[in-house]
Amino acid sequence: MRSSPSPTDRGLPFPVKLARKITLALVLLAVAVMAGLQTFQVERELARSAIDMQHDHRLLGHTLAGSIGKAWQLAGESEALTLLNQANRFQEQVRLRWVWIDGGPGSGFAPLLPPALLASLRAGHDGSVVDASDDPDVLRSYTPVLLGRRLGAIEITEALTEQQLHVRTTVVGTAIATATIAIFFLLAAMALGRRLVGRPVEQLMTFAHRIGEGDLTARVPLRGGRGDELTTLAAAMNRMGEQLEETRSRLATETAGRLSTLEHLRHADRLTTVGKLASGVAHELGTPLNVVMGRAKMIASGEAEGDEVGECARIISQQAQHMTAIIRQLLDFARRRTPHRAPEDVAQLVSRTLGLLKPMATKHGVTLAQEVPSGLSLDVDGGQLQQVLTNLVMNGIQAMRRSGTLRVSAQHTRAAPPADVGGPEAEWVRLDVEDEGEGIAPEVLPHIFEPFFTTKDVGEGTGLGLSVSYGLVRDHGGWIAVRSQPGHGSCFSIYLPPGADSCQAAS
Amino acid sequence: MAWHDGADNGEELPWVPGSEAPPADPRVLIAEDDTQMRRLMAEALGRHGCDILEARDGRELIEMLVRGRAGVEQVVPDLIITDVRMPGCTGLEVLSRLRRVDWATPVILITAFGDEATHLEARRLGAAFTFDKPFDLDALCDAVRTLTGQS
Repeated sequence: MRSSPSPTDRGLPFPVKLARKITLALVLLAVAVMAGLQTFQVERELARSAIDMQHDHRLLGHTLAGSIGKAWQLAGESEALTLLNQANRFQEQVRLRWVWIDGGPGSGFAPLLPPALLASLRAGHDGSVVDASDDPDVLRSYTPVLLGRRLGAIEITEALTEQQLHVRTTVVGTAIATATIAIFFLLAAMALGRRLVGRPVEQLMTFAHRIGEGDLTARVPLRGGRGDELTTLAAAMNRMGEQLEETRSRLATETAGRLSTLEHLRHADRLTTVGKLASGVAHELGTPLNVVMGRAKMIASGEAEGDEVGECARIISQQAQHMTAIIRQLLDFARRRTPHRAPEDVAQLVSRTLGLLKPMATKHGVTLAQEVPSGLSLDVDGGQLQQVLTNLVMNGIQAMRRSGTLRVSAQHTRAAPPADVGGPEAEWVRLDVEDEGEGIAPEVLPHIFEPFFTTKDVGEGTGLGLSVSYGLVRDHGGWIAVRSQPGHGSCFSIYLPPGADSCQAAS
Repeated sequence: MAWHDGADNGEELPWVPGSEAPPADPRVLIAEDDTQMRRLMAEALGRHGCDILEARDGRELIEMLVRGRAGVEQVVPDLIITDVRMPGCTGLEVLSRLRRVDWATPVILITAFGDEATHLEARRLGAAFTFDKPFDLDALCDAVRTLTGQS
């Protein structure tokens, strides 16, 4: 029964055990009380019968003492003792005997009595003692008689057979009565316990199990007629069930409401993004257009003379190129193609990318380091991942005003995706691009992935690199995280879902 | 930063607004993060007889007004031209900080493609003119002339 814990198995033992324990305890208590009472009663009866017996013995002793004393005076010692022996001959219940208390010569019956009794006899009082050395026990009573100068006593011995018989009968009777009552009690208690405790508790437990399994419509079928604690508990649990059900339905409504609000917000967010993008484009293109217009006008109006004309034309050309780059990146951003995934060796991809960027790094005095384990393969669009890496590495190089090392590393890691990606904590491949540059100010950090957000001079960046990179990584089901310590450097981490191959390689 | 096209005025004390004798050439402080744009405005205004001082962003502009910069004493320009969108500190922030300390130097704000909200905010803060990129340099020069009282 223990081996397979099915719901009924889990449900049954508890109430039955409990009822059994309570019943057993009650029965034991009842037995103990009855036994105690009977013992007390028997002892009291025994004590009373002992007193009665002693009383009889004393009466007999004093009656005989008179006769013996007279016989002694009239006929001498032997006659007196014969009288005593004759009394023995006529009845069986008590045995009579003569004893000399002082145990002097001729007594032959020096009694081995307790000193207290002896002292009492010497003082002329009678007394009794129970002798347990015989079987059955005997009661010996002594009545002192002074014969001349010598103190003797009549010893009356009576067996306690009847008392012992009485005790035995009482004990057996009590035992039978107790057992009968105990069995009856046990049966009654078990039946009642099952009806009053076992079944209701079983029902409550079934209810609790069903609630635990998510069935909030479950109710306990206990009616409040009995008005005991279990019914009250059942009523309370039913109320709890109702409230849980109500709360769940309310929560469901609220969640639905919240989801629709969220949908609205997302729409609003998209509109905001479009607005931001438009104003970003306006600003990014406004400035070079202004320069182009101004320089062109200088040439046209003749304000610019000699070498200045050439310089103006060079600036115009440079600004036009800059505008072309902005528009191309904007188009890349808007028309992001879906990634064409294929197994790609990460180490090879990283070293290819770093190879292309080496001239730029050398110019800035930056050493490129690669710590990617060989055999790490990902299911990605190689061109897109290379674009992302190029963006991040170039940013890192530009952030390093002094010479230093820029490190690209890759490893398996467990991570919980951010809210915009969603999902539980899982296994990811993390590509770190770590620079020793000036770092990113905390107030700037939340905005770095926004389109057209840049801290660089206008000519240097378009403000689209990071947001394009983020979009590409999101298309792969991953995300980019960043942590930065102003003055010490930044670390951009690309999280990508591990490919099937890389999982095998990792295990 | 060097003075553009201006005489060496090193011996002169900076002019304080409200003092009796303004210098002949109006001093214009330009804050713009784009190097080419800054150079263009400086050249154009220089041709119109202005002393030009350049700041690369809003923070540098404030620094120059408050403390001066290495090698240059505190600057008190007749006119400030500032781009709105700059890293660090925007033109609007510059303007509101100037107004908070009751600095009455006229300010020309440069925005991009007519951002209505920026225009309203600029007007509220008391910008003398607001120009949308791309704008005509002659219009800017006219505005500078009007504000500095040149004929």
